[in-house]
Amino acid sequence: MNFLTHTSPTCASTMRNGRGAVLLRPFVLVAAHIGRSKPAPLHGLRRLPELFTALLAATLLANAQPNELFQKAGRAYDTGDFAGAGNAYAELLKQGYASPQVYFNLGNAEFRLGHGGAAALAYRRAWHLAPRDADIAANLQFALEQSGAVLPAAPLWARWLQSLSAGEWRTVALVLFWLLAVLACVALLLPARRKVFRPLVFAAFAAFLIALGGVGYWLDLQVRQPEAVVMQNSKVLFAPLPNATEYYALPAGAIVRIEAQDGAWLRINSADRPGWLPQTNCIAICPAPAGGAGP
Amino acid sequence: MPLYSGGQFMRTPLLRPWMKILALGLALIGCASAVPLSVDFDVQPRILRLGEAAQLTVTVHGNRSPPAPPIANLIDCDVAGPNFSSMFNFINGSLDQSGSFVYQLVPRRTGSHRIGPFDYKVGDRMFKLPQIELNVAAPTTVPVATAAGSGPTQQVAIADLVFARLDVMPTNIVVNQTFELRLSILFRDVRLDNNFSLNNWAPAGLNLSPFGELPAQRTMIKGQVYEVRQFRSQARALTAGHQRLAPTVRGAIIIEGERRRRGGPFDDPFFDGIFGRGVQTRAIEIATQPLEFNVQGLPEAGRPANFGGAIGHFTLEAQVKPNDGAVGDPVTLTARIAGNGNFDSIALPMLTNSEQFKTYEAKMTSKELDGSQLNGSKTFEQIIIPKSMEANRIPAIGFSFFDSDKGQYVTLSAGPFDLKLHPATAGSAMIAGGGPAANSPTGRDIAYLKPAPAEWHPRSVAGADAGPLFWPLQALPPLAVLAAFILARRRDARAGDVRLVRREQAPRSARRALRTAGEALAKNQRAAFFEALAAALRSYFGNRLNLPPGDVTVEGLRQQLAAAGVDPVLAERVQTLFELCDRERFGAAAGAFDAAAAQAAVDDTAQLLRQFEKVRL
Repeated sequence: MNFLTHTSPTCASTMRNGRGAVLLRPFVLVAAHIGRSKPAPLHGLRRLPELFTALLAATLLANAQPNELFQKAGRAYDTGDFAGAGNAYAELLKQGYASPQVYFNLGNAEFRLGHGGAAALAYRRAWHLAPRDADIAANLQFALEQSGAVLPAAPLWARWLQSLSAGEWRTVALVLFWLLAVLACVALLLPARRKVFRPLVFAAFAAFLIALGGVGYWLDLQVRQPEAVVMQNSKVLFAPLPNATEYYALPAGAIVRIEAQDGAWLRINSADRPGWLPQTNCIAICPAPAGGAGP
Repeated sequence: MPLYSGGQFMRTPLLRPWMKILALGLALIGCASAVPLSVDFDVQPRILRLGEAAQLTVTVHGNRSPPAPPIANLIDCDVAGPNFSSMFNFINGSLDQSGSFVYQLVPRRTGSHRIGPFDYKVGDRMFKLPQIELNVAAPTTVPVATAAGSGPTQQVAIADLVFARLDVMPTNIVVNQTFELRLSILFRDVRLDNNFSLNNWAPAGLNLSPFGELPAQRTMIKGQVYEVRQFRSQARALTAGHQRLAPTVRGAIIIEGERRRRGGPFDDPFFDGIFGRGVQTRAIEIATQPLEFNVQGLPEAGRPANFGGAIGHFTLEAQVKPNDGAVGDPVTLTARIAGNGNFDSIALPMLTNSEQFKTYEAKMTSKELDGSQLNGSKTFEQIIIPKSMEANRIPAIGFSFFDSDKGQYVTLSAGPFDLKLHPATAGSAMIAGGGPAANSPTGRDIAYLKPAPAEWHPRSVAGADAGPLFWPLQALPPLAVLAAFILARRRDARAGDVRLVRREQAPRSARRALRTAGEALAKNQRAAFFEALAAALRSYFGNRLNLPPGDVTVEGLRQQLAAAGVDPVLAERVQTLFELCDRERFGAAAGAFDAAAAQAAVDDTAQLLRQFEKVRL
């Protein structure tokens, strides 16, 4: 069983897996509801309350299915059916309902099943979506400790950019973008106030650039996929050859940096030690849009 | 007040920062430890031709003004000098004050010359300067041009003057061992171009780094002095087997003294300096003796379980710090491997989790290697946590490598390391998973499941599911800024253009005056009416033509309108209206005020001005 062949929430691949149907579902339901009640066409504002109610009902219906699956997974977990729980969480992810909660719970199920690598991968993906969540960080740390791996150290600037998630950086950038435009318009149209507004414009611009840096940082992680999780205890080799000399060993769950790919081999780096691993031994934390870098 | 008078000097604001820097520098110099007294003695080059000079250098470290060394009377050598120089150097935080004596030695005969040994006393210490041998060959007899093949008198094969050699070091090589390939190009009596390339160079089964040049040397072969240019590559054998390397070096000889035929007016020695007299290069293939060597496979017999591929000669040092603490407190095991060999293959097998110890992944904390990457050291650290009071001895760690000289595996070990442990504190018990403590966690586990999210949203990349209006909306801010920019530019342009401003004011001012005229007409005020009507005309044309108020006259206006090519009928109507107003204002007003005629005059003026709005003036 492998729960982790689904696509990641932060990747473009999510767009293709039934997301359109999910998005359209409320509108289909609204149309069906209205069609049943009154076949006449909608005219004027008289039917607005009805339309609103129908839309709300459709949204609730659309939420009901993933909620039910999520609760079912939780019940399976509570009864010790970790495989069943993992399957249900994986199904949610397959439907496009990726969230930190789903990844976190999937990580828990994998951890209980003794799949250290898969647990670390799920926790790391959850962390990508909610980098400040203390539970995710604690479980990831705990899972890595149990397998003898350590979190790779990130430079100070990267740790700072990791304080907000990709979505949060996007929101900040968007707000600053509009604020910058408003301030620039005011500064242009009120020359008498230009002395006051000019530093504000520069400050907003600098903040906007920083926010773009945050967006770019996460985008880079999604596009370039420099990180991978080792799924099973592996031996890192000196060369991309099956009989090459072993360099060092990596425990399942170890997070490594991917430097290059040579056929079915990945050149990885762990703690400043470059080496080669079979591609099947690790999974990129954000799979490629074409279907994933992992098995 | 003099600048240098007592404390005032230090209080002068401009000088204060410099004084601080100076004081800091002096303090640093004072704090820096001095380099101990030592003497370097060298002669370069040690192989030379008769008539050439060698340079003898004696450098005394730790003393800036040492006495001159006793190098005056050398048999069969002319000695010139010494030239003395002294310097300060900071080397690794230590202050080195050194003094150097440089002598020029010119041998008077060929053969071997022994320089030294000398006894050299510096202060209270006596130094023994070692004996150095100089080899002096007879001066060159082969002219350069001859060497290049253009001379008629003496034919010397180019292969005797330039040849190359490929060496491998060390000679007994095993798979994965990093070794050195050294290409030496030896030449005499010719000048070689700086660019070389290798032909027939595709070694199979070897991983080679690019060749890097080493300092040039000299060597003596059969009584001849050869210049040696050396290039080094780090190689690693990927497979066992026989290797045969036979490249040829492609280079070029620089030929001096041969003037090129240019023809024309520049075919004169006068222009040789301008056009680079006689400097030509001639490509040559430099033969290299084939290099053959065997790469041995690593023997299976006696291979230690923890052998990780290291080949060379190494030492292992390890320590644990702190070696006393509480159960659950982390200790750091530091191991340093130093020596000579393939350091990139070194990974120290550290300790793994056990019942007594919890261990973390080992990390390399430093790597200090020389330029060849073969000599130096690597240091590793591993965090270890004793879980119980019984964990008072950290087991020994081992490191194995293959000694290529001895042809056998060697296992080094360090430890075991004793720990002085005392019972765990509340904080450390949790880490170690030890016994329960009051108000402290008694165990560790993953956090429980998270509740369902409040809303379920299929996620995607940035903005892709934000709706069809999202991205078009984002065009608004830049468009707004652009519009504001254009408005600001227009406003700024208008602020500086009086003609444009008055042009825009013209209809407004005329309308105002016509309104005043209408009001006067309603009140049956004849004088005020015509005054307002005249003002409407004056203000309109004054603003349209950017004229001062006093310059708007009937005659002037007629000329301006004619010059602007205005329809004469329109111009005539303007003149008529002006004359009507002037007649009514300044002439004798006769008869009653005809309101209908006045209204007609207002309408006529308004219509006329509207027509003028369409006329370019």
